Amino acid sequence: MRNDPLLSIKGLRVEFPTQDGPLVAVNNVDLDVARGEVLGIVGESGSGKTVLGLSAMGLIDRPGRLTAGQVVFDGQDVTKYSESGWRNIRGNRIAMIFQDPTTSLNPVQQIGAQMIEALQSHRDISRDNARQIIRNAMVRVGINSPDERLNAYPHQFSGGMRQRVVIAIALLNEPDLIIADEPTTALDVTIQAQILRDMRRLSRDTRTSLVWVTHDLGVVAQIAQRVAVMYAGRIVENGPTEKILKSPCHPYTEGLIASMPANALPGERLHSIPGGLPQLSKLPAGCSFAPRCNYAASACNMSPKLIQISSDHAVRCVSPLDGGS
Amino acid sequence: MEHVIELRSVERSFVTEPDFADRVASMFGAKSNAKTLRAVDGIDLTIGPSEVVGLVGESGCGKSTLGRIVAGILPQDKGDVLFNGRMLADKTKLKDGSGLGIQMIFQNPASALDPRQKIGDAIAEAPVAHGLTQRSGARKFALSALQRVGLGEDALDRFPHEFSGGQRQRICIARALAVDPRVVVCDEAVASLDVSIQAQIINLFLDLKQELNLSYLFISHDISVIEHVADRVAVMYLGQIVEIGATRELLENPQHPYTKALLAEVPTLDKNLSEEHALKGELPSPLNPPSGCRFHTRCPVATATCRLERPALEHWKCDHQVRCHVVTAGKQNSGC
Repeated sequence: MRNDPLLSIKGLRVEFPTQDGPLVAVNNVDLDVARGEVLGIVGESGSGKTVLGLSAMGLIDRPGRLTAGQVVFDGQDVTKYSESGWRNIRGNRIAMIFQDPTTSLNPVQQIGAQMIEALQSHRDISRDNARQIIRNAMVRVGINSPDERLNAYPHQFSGGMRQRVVIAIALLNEPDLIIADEPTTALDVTIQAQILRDMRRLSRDTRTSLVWVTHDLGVVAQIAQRVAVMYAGRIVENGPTEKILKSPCHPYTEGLIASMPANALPGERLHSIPGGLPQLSKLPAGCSFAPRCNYAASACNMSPKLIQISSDHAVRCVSPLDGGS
Repeated sequence: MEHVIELRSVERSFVTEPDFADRVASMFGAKSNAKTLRAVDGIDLTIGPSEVVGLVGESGCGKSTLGRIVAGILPQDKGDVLFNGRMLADKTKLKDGSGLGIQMIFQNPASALDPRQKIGDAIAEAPVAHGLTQRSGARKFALSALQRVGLGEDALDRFPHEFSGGQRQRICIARALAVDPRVVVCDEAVASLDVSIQAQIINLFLDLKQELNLSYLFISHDISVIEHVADRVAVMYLGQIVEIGATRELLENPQHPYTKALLAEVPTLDKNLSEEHALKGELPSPLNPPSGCRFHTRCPVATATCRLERPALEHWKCDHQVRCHVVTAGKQNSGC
């Protein structure tokens, strides 16, 4: 087994020009995804987690652009790839699952045809062989009697089934990496739980790496071995899921966990992080979380660096919390 | 205890619109094949003074339809809705303000506000129309409503797009409370908000309940939110309440197999989802609900009786009712 990371993001910066100057959606992000690992990326809306996921797929559209950094996938710097270079990897070695399955499927094409297209655009394969692979993929995500389903159109599926079809398409070419952007947010808890189980089993059985972008810490706890917490375009904490959820070292992570209704006594006031997310085009100088932070001090006027507090745990804070206290 | 809201066997159905082919066919005398969807099917529910009743269920179970009926913006087909012991007339046809005592807050604050109306005007519009304040005093009135939800004077002349999602939801709350309601129906009112903002809004709801003795019907798919705010919880499945009881009792001691499965599937920080699916299959189409107990197609303990006979909502304990043959079989009504 190889030990180099499958995906390695180094100093990545993604900017969108606006009237008020450049909006830095992803700001100097370093992130590694090991082979077979499930990494959760957590953040609130506007934290840059989706843009980070898209940049690993080469899907940042103009006027947005990567202004610094590298995305190294399996030893190759893919930021330099041309569109045709990307086409060889996208959907083949890296697959993506989006939040809303209704918009990621073609409404006027049968499911089977959409799946065959995904296969044949990367491999020279006969229709019969393709059908066999498709059947297997559908069974793997829990769609029984796939043959009847292949001729159906997306609107004939329920929301949960549609998302399974999308996941099955992502699996077709046996990618090394799947980037899933809030794939269960639009679904009911019962369906969400089924998909979490399926994906957990899949990544274990096939050693597919998984990047799971979500705002829900409960979901991360169920699926991810490691978690990166994003705030205002930066990673503020990165480490093993269990460690971070039990004893967070960044005040923002601590605040997020404490805000969850499940972590408070019923009827009591919830812990809430004061204020709102800063505008990305008007970030405060120094630590972007300082204006909302209970522990903020004068040292927070300087931009904090990501400090390694143990071999597998890093935090971007000048005075990290003493985890566990 | 006097109930603020009482629902008696409330029902509401929707009939599918005939499409073009159906209309042509019916011109030639074909039988209409319009389908009826019973969104709310025989609901009895009470809400007491300053009580929070939580309503949970999967999408399509009828919880939003029920919320709209309680708020009076959707008429029921059958059954009665009583507000303070008086029958609530069809508010959608009345403009006399008799339904002002019940207000509703929606999931998406961006679409609940008129993008071209200033915040101050949006809040004062209903109170002025109903004579709760003079037009000359409207500005002051709107300001006091805004201050109640933690916003200031500078908000009065701004437009909805100038606010963040959390602030917009505060504005919607201020607008709902401006007419001095007794009951507020919250339909997924915190679902679209980020965790840190969601906590602020939940705190605001709890503070306002204390301050103004409000009752809430709190609709949410998020059981942890319901657990936090509700005094009693009702679980809905395909248009019916399948279990209802005091929050703690119901969540710690769920009896209905559906409630058990629903609780088992909530991802939390401290427990691991089991490898086995707690629920098999998908929600059956509400256009064609299963016979007998509506849950029998997915139920791990279903018997032959469940396929044939519809169970009734029966007492399990004094503060806990369950709609299940298996649970209530052999158990005497405990005298409640």
